[in-house]
Amino acid sequence: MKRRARVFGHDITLDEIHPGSYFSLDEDILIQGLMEGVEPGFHETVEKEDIIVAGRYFGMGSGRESGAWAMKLAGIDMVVAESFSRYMFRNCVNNGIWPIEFEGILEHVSEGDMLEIHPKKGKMILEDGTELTFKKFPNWIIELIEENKVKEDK
Amino acid sequence: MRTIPEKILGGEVDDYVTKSVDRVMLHDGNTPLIFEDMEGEDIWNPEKVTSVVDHFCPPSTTERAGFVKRLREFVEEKGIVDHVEFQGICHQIMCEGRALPGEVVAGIDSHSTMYGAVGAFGIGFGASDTVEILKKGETWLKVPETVKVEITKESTGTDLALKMLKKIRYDGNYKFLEFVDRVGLNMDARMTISNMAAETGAKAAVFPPDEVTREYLSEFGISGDIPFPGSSKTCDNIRISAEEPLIALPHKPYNVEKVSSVEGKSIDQVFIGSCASGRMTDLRKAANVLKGKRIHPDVRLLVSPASKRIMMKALDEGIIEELVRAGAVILNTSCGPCPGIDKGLMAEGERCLTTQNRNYAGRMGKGKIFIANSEVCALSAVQGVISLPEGDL
Repeated sequence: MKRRARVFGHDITLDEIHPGSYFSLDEDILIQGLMEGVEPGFHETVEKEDIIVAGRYFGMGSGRESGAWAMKLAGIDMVVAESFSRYMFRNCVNNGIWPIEFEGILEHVSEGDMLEIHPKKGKMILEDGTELTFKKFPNWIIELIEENKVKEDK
Repeated sequence: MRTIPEKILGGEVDDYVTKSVDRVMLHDGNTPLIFEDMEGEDIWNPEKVTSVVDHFCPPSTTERAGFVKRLREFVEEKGIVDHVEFQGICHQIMCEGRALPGEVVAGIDSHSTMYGAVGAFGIGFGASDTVEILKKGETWLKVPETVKVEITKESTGTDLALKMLKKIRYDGNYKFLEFVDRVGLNMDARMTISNMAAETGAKAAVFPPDEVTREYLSEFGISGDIPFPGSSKTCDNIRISAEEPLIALPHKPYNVEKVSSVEGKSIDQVFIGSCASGRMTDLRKAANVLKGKRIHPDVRLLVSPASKRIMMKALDEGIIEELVRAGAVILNTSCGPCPGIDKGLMAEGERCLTTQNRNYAGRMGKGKIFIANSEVCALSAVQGVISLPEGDL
């Protein structure tokens, strides 16, 4: 299935992904905070199954899981970045979101591109049909992600 | 010879290991995210858990008041005895006789690296990881690579931390920072540095215990042998020193320049406090500058000591009175304006100069955040513009 890429730059921090002022257990407030520190109004344009694409060190700074929660609530279950902060990686895994590492991804993808990604196979097909491969996740991480995706979807 | 993480966590660099934790820190800011998942679940050892209310402190909305109330009930239900409400910032509370050398301490907050100042392997976790840790007393970890950070010249904790961020940027991500302190920094400075090590992305950041650690812990009645597995084998080594005051410009803590490069820039707010730098060393330096002076009429100065213990000391030393006379607003001990949660936010277009650890966009409201040591902050509050103190650091 092809999905729309929403592209961000390098060094996007958690305070940009989800500013502390949107910390809440109210789902509407949580969603409103998504990407608000870097692209105000993102929550109005994001659609279920969009893919977040970012550069180096996605999610540095705070470990607040509300960022991953907001993504989950918005229907995002894949993030492709050149690298992740250790908090963002773990918080994605724990919320059933695939944290896919791909060196140089920003050179291949532009805002709005339609991508086809097979996270378990380590395969990605770009808008122009180019096929790229990335390092597969260890099986126990795949199990954790799938288990958490089911748990959250309940 | 193995590295400190290999000795403490077991395994070798890049191995995934399952590791038991010695202690857990919870705070009101993130713990509401785990209430639902912890329903009906027991904590593996409630005596090993400390719960702190420091973010919604006191709460500014009824929803947040509800979180604090719910945390109180949670603590009661789960048998947690060590609940610390409105008495200080969680990381400071943990470093006041709770986190101990050689222990693995899991905190529900990214600045848990600060426990490295007292020789503990402090690691931050998100909410879901914390749920698993509370249930089982263990978690999975990747054994990190070690980078030695050698401190070669005495300076303030903030300036050394900023120099470290300038050099390492985000390349501490997933790594372990082992400090080699050649100058015998005091515990306040060590806490600033191990706290701000979180800004490199480090998993943990430790000053191997020495005489300074021993003396500090004795203030809390902790004495005797300090168990710690020595130093790491040869590894990457970064040297840091700060020849003159530094400043982190918006919106990244590693965006560090000399204060002199932005002297004269007007500011609207100054905040001295936070878990990074709200301790006696920081407050004394600020009070020294502010004694007998008045802050600039266009600037609001907010000060928040990092714990009640520090607040009491500052009262005893007359520091609080000097700060108030100079025009400072003294906030209670809490996270305060730093995370932009309960007080001290900025309007669009405003600038704040602060001793805190983060200046990311979206933090502390809509304005721009600059980070510098407390002396630079205090002097700038008087001048109304970013100012450079005369003389040595």
